[in-house]
Amino acid sequence: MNDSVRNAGKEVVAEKTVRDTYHPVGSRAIAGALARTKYSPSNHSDELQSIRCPAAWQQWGDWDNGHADS
Amino acid sequence: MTRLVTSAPSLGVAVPIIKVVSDFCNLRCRYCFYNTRDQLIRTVMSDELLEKFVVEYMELFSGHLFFIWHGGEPLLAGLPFFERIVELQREHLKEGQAIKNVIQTNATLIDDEWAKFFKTHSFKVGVSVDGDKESHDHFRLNHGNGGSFDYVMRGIEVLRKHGIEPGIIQTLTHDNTARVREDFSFFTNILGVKRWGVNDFRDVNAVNQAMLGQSITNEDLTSFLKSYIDMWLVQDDGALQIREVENFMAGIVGKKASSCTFNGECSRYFSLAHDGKVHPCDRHLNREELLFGDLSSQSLSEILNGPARLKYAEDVQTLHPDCASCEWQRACHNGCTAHRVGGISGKYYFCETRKSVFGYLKDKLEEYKRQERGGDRSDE
Repeated sequence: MNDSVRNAGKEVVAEKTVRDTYHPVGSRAIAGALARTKYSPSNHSDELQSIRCPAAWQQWGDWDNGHADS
Repeated sequence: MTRLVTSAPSLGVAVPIIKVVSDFCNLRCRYCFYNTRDQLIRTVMSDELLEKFVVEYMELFSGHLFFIWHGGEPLLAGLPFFERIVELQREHLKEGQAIKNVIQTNATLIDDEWAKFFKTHSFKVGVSVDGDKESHDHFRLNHGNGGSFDYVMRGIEVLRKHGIEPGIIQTLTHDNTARVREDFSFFTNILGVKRWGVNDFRDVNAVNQAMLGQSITNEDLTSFLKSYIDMWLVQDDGALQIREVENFMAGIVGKKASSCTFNGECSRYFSLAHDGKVHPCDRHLNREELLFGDLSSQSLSEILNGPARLKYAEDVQTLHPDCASCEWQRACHNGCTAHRVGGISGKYYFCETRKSVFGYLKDKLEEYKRQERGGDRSDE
């Protein structure tokens, strides 16, 4: 294998690495928050939140105690 | 046209917030809504009342049952009090019931014995921390006006030693809004917190003279929350959950938020004081017109099905006329009833903040979706 081929291969690997790890700033944060909403009922539903939903129960149980303001 | 929600849905499983020691506390946080009340008298709920409550509550409801233990500082009731709680719950547990105990503490009294107890009985522990030492010690003081930060950090360390990761509640005052970056950085990078919530201090009637000028305004809160959103995005940790951001996000994507002040399910909660008085929430303790009843002389069923609670549930659901044309009506539900101007039927004080932050985060979400779509195309 000559140098040009070897180097070309490295360039391709480097480009692939950059592409694979590229995430716009905030994308992981938003994706995480969106994923957590999937256990919640719709805003238009009369279904009650949290307690019927084990996932939400586990997720918020320790501090979401009815004192949120913001 | 946006439809006003006028009828109360089923109240479902009621969630008790139990003030086991009245207002008694070993700290003297300047902003505490019990600060103007007597915090020196140790008035622990009697065993008789505790048993009556646990028995009747577990008789009334099935499924997942929450017990939220509050104070004052609930640990001042003593470990035997909590051992008795667990004993009563075990004794009266029925098929189809699962119990979750939640305790909100200042963490200064936590030692190995408490931590072992919480771990053994799967208590969820919420700890009040306002930010780094400078922010925290600004208002969270002990009897001698000394800061409580170091004691709280020691308590958290003990909890973690026993495998308990506490949730954090940060209380926001006017002064602390100036330290938004320091506090965010402290929580995420130093304390290593993955989940916390923000409560804002607002003393409507300036009852607390020690806190004049510290009530959060719409401007304060809007700026603070937008800064938190920006920092949350930059931190870019998919596991990092700031309760307020999660609540706004849920509303934007048409889902129910987890918090009672967003999802309109405030009337599911009730506050039980050490003497048996039942109110909608401990934020309404001073309001005699909102007294649901007295467990020392009535049954829990009678209180929860009584006219005062049913009226409250109806009032909570009846939105302010301004909400009718608001695109965020179903995501906001006119906020916390304790912060509605002029009473339960009034408009939420932080309405402008809500609208502004919903819009801000929605823009961020749309930008994210655009980038995601762009990313998809480049990979084709």
